[in-house]
Amino acid sequence: MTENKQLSSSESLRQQALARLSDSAVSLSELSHEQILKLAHELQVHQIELELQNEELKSTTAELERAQLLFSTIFNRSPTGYLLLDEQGIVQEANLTFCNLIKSSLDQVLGKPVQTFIDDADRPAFLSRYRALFRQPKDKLIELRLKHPQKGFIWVRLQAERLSPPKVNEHEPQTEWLLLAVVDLTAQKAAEQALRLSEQRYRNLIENSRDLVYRISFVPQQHFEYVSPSATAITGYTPEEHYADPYLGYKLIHPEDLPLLQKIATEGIKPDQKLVLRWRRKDGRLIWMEQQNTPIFDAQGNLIALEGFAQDVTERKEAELALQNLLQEYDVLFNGVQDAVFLIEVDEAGEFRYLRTNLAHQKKTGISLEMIQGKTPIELVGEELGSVLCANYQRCLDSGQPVTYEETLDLPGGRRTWSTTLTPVWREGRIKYIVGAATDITEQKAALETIHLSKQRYRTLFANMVEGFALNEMIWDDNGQPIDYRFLEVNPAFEKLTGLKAEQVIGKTARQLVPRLEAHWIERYGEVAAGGGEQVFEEYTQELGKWYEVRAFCPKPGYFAAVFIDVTQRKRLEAEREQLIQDLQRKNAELGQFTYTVSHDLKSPLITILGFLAFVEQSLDQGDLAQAKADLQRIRFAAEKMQALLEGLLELSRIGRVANAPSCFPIGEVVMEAVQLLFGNIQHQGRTVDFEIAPGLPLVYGDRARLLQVMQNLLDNALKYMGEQPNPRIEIGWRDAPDEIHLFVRDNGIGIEAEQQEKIFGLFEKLDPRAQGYGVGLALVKRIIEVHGGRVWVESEGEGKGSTFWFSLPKTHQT
Amino acid sequence: MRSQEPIKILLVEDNPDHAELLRRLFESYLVKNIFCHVEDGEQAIAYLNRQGKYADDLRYPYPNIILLDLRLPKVDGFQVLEHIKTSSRHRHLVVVILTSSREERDIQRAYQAYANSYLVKPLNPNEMMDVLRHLGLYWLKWNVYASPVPN
Repeated sequence: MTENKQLSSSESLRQQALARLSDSAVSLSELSHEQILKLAHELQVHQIELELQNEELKSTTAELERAQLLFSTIFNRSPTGYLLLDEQGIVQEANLTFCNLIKSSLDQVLGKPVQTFIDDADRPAFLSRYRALFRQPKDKLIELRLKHPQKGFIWVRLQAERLSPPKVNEHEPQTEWLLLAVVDLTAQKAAEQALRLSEQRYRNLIENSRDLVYRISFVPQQHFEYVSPSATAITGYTPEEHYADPYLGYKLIHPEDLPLLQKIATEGIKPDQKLVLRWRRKDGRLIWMEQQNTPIFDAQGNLIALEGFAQDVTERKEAELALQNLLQEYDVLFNGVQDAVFLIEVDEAGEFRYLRTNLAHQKKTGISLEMIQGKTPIELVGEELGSVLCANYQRCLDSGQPVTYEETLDLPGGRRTWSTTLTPVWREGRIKYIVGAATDITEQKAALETIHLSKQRYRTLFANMVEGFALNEMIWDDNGQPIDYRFLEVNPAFEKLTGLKAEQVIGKTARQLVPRLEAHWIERYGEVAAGGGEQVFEEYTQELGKWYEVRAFCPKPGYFAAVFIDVTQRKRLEAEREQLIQDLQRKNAELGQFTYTVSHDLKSPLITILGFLAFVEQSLDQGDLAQAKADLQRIRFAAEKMQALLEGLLELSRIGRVANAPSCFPIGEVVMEAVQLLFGNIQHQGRTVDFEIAPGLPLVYGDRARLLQVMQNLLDNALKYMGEQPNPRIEIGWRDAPDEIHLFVRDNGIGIEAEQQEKIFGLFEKLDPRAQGYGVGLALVKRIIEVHGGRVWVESEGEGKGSTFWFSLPKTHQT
Repeated sequence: MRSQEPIKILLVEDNPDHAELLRRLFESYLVKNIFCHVEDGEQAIAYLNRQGKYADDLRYPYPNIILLDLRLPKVDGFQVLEHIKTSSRHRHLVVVILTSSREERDIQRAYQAYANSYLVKPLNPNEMMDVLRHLGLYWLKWNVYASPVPN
């Protein structure tokens, strides 16, 4: 509505009315009074009506004016520009908004064809469509550019509606107008542009993103609505391949992981729910993909699409897995170790708090993780024990070094002894943690205690044992031959037995201590040390002058231990015993020999006697008396011989049985006596014999009478075996010997052959069977001297060279 | 085959009485024999080797059989036995040990040294005679001797 048009004034109204009246054909004169009265009445009424109407009209007009003003305001203030166009496109009305839109004034707009304002580019199109628009404006939206003095053009959207404005008067044809709502699309367009840009940017982002972005639509059937290009890089399949195969997505998923997806499908997809699955790429490689799907529902709530993006989280997953494994490993390690491990946190105030313990700790101490976590030692085990623990931790803290100590604790798990090591850990410039590791050494300690006791016992044994003990290291030469050994350890008994002190001995070698040590010791020990097995043996060492019985064994290759006892005494006794046994055996043999000899020598004459008796009988029968007499003589001699033999035997036995009291006397006296007695014999034989008696014959201790017998027999013998030489000579002398006195009787007679020298002292042994005597003499000498504790022997260089008969007498304290 | 020649006997015995006994016995044997006697081993060996006075074959004929006592002075019976049995010349001789020893060791030794026989002189004279008679029978009548090995 133009503001120019106003309600006509009453003036113009009257004029209009007069005009109309003049037009009307009816005259007033034709009417009756009644009709005039009626008419006047009606006129009055009409006048009143008119007045009323006029008032109404006035108010209505006022209202109308007000309304018009209002609507005009609204019309003009509307954010939408309005144009009222006629069929030809002339602007009938326009609002201020439109005018402002094109920066034009109303009068510039009104009455102009609309295309004036349209931008040249869009004008042809609009013009061609205007008729169609005018006829059927419904649902037609046109967007075009209007000319703008500053911007060049602006985009607007036109929405048309047919308007049939009320006729001014009835005669008028009905005009049809087109109401165009003109909306400034500038903002919208800008927004669209921005949106497009933004979309572009996002598209770029998506296209260039390394993540896979996709939209699966389920209507009408499942298919990929969008797959970002990154699909190629990630899966090996191009987006086109995805579009081609709607189910490619499922095929990619690792069969083992499909159930996960299926579970989601059944439970319903939760937006922002992340799903991590394995996909198999086109090239066969397996990757981990993290998907986030957002379900899209239609207005009815049906699932129509799925939008999602997926990231290749293989690295992350592998890192996760690695971390998991690592954590597992650490857990296994931490909790698998047999030692009790605990972690203490040291807060800034210096308080110790337990952070974590391992399984071993929990089991061994009987304290669970919940019980200990976060507590200080005092909170955990009380003041007494807690302060001890704190003291230990403090020590570690103060020293800044790992500390190790042993402690025995009474804990819920029992009373156990631990070897604990605390290690400080620096973080942020101070010791923030202490790592504790404790080994349960209860059993070990007990074992050690046992070992200690055992050692103690062994020490005692070692120190007190009677046997000497030495632990030695064998020393080898380059050829692997044993050459020496070193003393490592010896016991007190060793010292006593060898007379060597431990200080002297330990660290030294055998050859250093005993330079002339016999090689056999070293060889033997070498064998043992080389692993040849235990050896038990007896050996003599001249250096110490002792016999030892040794048990040598090898505690470790290259070493040997020897346990030994001094068996010198035993050896001596053994030797004595051996000697005794030998003596006895000898005596036994002698006895046997004696018996044999005796029986033989006694048998012999008996054979003679009995044999010749037979012949005597024969002779008597034959009357041969001479023969008989001769034979009887033989018999007599034989019998006498037997008698002599028996007497000799008796004498011999008497020497042993009957002993005179021994005395100390000069042997010289006895010699003289014997020589005197012999002179009778010599004279009887009519021979001269030279006697030489050595001076200074010593004192001897023994049986005088028997020793006289000895001298007599020896001299007798010498005489007997003088031979036929012209100057028979007998020498008597002596010599000194350690512990003994040796005396001799030497002759220069027929001598004795070497083989016979042993025999002659035997009973009844006669070198010359024809010689006098019965072979008893020397046997007697031997017997007597042996009873005195001495020995007899003979020296002779052989036949014709004379003989020297020696006998020894032991020295006593008197001689 | 019985030998017509007299059997030569050598007795090695130190006891003169025993030697005399044996001599008389062998003299009384019907079988002809020549009885010789030496007193010790030294003489025995010299006899066999025809040394010294024993070179006289007539007086001291080389024996067929030796009666050997073990206990002899100077050189004992065992030595004589060994001498005989190790000598190629005298090995063939029959050596009869005639001793009063019944000791096992003597017997062993004698046989080990290849004595041909071992007789023990019994105490009983009758037994002795018996032994000697049988000795005579066996060794003189029946035993066949080898001829002496040429020198």
